[in-house]
Amino acid sequence: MSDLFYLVTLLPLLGFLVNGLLGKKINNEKITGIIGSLMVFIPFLIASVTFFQLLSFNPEERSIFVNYFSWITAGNLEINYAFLIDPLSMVMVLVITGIGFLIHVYSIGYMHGDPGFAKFFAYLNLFIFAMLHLVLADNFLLIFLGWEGVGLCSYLLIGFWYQHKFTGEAAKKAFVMNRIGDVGFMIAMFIIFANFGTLKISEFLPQLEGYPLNDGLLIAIGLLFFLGATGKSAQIPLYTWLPDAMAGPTPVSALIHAATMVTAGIYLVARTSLLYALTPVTTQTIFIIGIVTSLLAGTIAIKQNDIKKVLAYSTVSQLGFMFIALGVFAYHVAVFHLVTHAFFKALMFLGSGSVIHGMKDEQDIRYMGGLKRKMKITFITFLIGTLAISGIPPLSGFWSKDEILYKVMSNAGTVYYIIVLISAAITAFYMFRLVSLTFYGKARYNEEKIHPHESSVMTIPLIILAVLSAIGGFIGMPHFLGVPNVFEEWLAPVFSKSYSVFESFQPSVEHSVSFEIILILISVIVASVVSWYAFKKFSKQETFEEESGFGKVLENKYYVDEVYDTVVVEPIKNVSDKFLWNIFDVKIIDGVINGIANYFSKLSFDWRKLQTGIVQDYTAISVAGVIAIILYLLLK
Amino acid sequence: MIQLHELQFIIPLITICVASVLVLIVEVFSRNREVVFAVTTLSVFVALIITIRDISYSTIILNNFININNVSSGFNIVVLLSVLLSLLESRSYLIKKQINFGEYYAIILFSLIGMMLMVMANDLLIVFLGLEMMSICFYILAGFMRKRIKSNESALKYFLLGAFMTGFLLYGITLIYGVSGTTNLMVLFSNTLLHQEPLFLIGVGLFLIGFLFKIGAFPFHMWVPDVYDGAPTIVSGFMSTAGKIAAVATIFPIILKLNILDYRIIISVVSVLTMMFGNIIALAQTNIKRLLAYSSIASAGYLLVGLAAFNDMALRGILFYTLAYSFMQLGAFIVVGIIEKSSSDNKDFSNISLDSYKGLAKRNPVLATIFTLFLFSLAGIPPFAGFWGKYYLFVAAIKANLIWLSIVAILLSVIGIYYYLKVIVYMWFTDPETDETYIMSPLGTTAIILSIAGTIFFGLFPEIFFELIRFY
Repeated sequence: MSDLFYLVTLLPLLGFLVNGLLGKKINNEKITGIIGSLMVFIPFLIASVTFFQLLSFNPEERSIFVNYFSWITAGNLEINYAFLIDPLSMVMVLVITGIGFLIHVYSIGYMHGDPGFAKFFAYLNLFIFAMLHLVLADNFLLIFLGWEGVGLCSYLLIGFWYQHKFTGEAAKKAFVMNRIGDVGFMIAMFIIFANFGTLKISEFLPQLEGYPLNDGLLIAIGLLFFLGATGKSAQIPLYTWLPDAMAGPTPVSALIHAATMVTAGIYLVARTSLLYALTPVTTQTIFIIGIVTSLLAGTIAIKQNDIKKVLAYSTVSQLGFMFIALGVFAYHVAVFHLVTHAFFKALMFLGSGSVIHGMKDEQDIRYMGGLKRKMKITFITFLIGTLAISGIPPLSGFWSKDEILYKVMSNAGTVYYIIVLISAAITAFYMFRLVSLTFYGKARYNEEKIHPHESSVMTIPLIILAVLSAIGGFIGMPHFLGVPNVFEEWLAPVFSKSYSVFESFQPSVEHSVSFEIILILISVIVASVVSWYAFKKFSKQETFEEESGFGKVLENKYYVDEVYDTVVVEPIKNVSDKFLWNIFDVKIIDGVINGIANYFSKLSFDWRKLQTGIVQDYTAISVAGVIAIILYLLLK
Repeated sequence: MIQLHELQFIIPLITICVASVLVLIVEVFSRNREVVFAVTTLSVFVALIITIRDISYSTIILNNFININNVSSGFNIVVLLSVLLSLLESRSYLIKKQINFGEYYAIILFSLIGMMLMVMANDLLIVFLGLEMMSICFYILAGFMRKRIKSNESALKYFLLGAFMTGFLLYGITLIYGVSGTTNLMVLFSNTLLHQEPLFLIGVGLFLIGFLFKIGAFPFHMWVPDVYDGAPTIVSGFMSTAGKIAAVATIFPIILKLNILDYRIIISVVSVLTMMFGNIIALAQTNIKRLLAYSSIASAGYLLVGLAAFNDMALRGILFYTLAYSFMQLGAFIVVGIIEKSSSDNKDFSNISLDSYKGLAKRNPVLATIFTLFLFSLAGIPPFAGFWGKYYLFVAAIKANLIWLSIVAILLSVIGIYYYLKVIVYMWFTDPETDETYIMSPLGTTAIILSIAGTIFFGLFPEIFFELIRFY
């Protein structure tokens, strides 16, 4: 099957070309939608078959290296267009193509009637193409190609409805913020090439063995990659673009800004886990950033009234949880949470899209309420997603979040455990606030004008995702329950070296089963109590008052955007306006350049006089040249 | 002794020879140019395919006169490709200019025989034979619009200067033979004692001068603008690609294997002066054909950077640059040919001043986009093939410790960007003065699509060409 594997990336590209170039000519939403969806579904099938093929191998041999062609050769730099199919990339490919396909199907309904229908599917396919490169590439440069590719698609899709000023600005903000992270990624690549002479992951990681812990070089590389990760995965300090990115169509928010692209940073750290295992300092940085981000974003989510904004801050917060897992050296747990989060967050975004679609583009939950009877499937599936993210057993989010809490407890200590537990409780609180305000209580919208409804092409993906959100966690159940943790075993070959490094400096602590059960009980009780409290508090709420005090700070997102504006944006604007543009650029640069240009064009008019058009002159000049060369050869 | 089985190695050459005779015979009995055109194009295509298929052949045959290996075959592929591309556009251009005579195709094939012979030559006599076959055909082709004054002037100037410079080349061969008693290249390469003989050095120097003239290097470049300006546009494109490529493909392996450092300095100096003259004089041009002619002089300068480096990287660079060059330069000339008006009024060329390109993007956005891509590639802007061509050449110079040369080359190629951009600015940022429309024939469109595809494809995947010709 791996000989057919090239189709996995080729088909989305084909879909992009067909819909992008011929979309206007085809001018048929059905054909466009089916092409776009198939070009993701077939790769999903191929990837599934490849998955079972890998499964039939011994765990150590589950890593196929496919070299297609040599891409760039220049001196010592040799870049192949090559894929690494291993358990980690397999998980990512299945999530991307599987959830990607569902969201493509959903989009057929959601984008119905939009003049840019074909363009939308073309961009989505291009995104899948780029994202697959990001996770499959065997070298950093090809990863970077995918990294930039998904950034471009994200930009194009956030600004999809470019007629509105704010969508364009949101797109720009996402693009610029990501650029900052990309610089980190690039410098990391430069350092790796300069010091290790390769950009291949499979040649880079083995060279790390034997490095002492916390080597300065490795810390630098690790932090720079992590800077890239904070951009893509929306962590402090580069997270502010993600909430604004909600200006894009909702399927985009689900696919790119919840399930797949924003997890690229987690993937990158997991892929180079050995680097981070060898530098506990970097790992601690990741841990702290993860905790602060999850708390910050979680508290902001409590006071947001836009249904998508709540989900966006929730995404930032959940990504924080994944980084927390990476920060306690629990790489497979981070990937596990990545997968379950992809299920339930995609589900809830699509659910919110269904609500927005049914409510005629209303996004403010203060003007919703009582939708549970009118949008039954949306309500039930959304509720499943909410229960999952809040950590209610036995839904998927419970297993992954609980695993994170357990790892924090055993690898970082009780104080951090309590902080992360609070953050998890906040998740349950704002999610139940969202569900209560949207679906419970009385209708707070004009029932004569708006008639909420659902469409079947949109609800089928919801149902599938709801099933996955409900049962998806069973692949990673803790050991003490007596069932195998298949997810951990599956990823074990990828992380085995990192874990042995980790255990070499921090011997693993064996906790008793009862201790684990107590921890689980604590988190279940906390989640349930907070959920119930939020449900009681908000399901009856009908009037909304102006926020004041700390609530106002939260509603305004801690004024981070404003601080960034004053501290970074405005000074740069001032410097570039008053000095860089008006003095440096206009006077110095332009002056020098125009001077040089004038000099050469004068030279050109002088020299062309040599070209007399007379053959005798030409001959004379040639003979002069001949004589000069012969003289040189004689006299040298 | 020549053996029959040796012929299997030169099937492409035989194909072209047979086709050229066939074309002459058909031309006598039938007035139907379609048949002539079809036979010509088909034979070139077949020769190209067979050359690609037989890329792994490596042998010296026919009494040590012909040397076939993947480098000579690689250059032959590039030459055949550029002949094929120019043939595709030739038909409609010739019809437009009312010079669609059958002998055109025969002459193209004759010149092609010369080029392929020269590239595969293992003996100075074969080099001379091939070079002359090619050159004489070029003189005729340049004057092919025999009723036009400019075309006649072009042919005459080319012939006079060409004949004059061939004298030096022949004199060089004579000196080499006089000193060494052989014209066989392999013997000349291996006899290192010879390489200190002053007369031998002068002989090779004169030989080199003959080739510097053919590729249009300073100070033997003066014919280039006049000839390219006066010749039929498609012929200019053909001469500036296939002819130049064959010449550089012949001289480079010779200089590489002789490995005499004295020539490095000569070629470096010539290369700098060539790039300077080409790029700087191009700034003042207002005629697109002359502009492209000066740009081709500058390109010859870049190729000479590789020639001066004469190392393996330079071989890579020259192979790749010639490939990229055949796509982008020929593509640009094809576009110029399309925009040129039919000259039924017996006047010389019209629509070749830069003014005719004003506002092209508004009148014919497709053509303008295509031309822009070719110009970008010529200017060496990634991700087009022209960028990698220059890149490999300049890296070769750095590897040969000619760091100063690569810096000068990069600076001078920056000047080049100006006049390419000037054309682009004319096309995109000025208002049209006319509302002319241009006809693109299906075959010409095919040629353009192939050129664009080559320019972009090899820009994105430069290594694939080397894999194709098994050159690592």
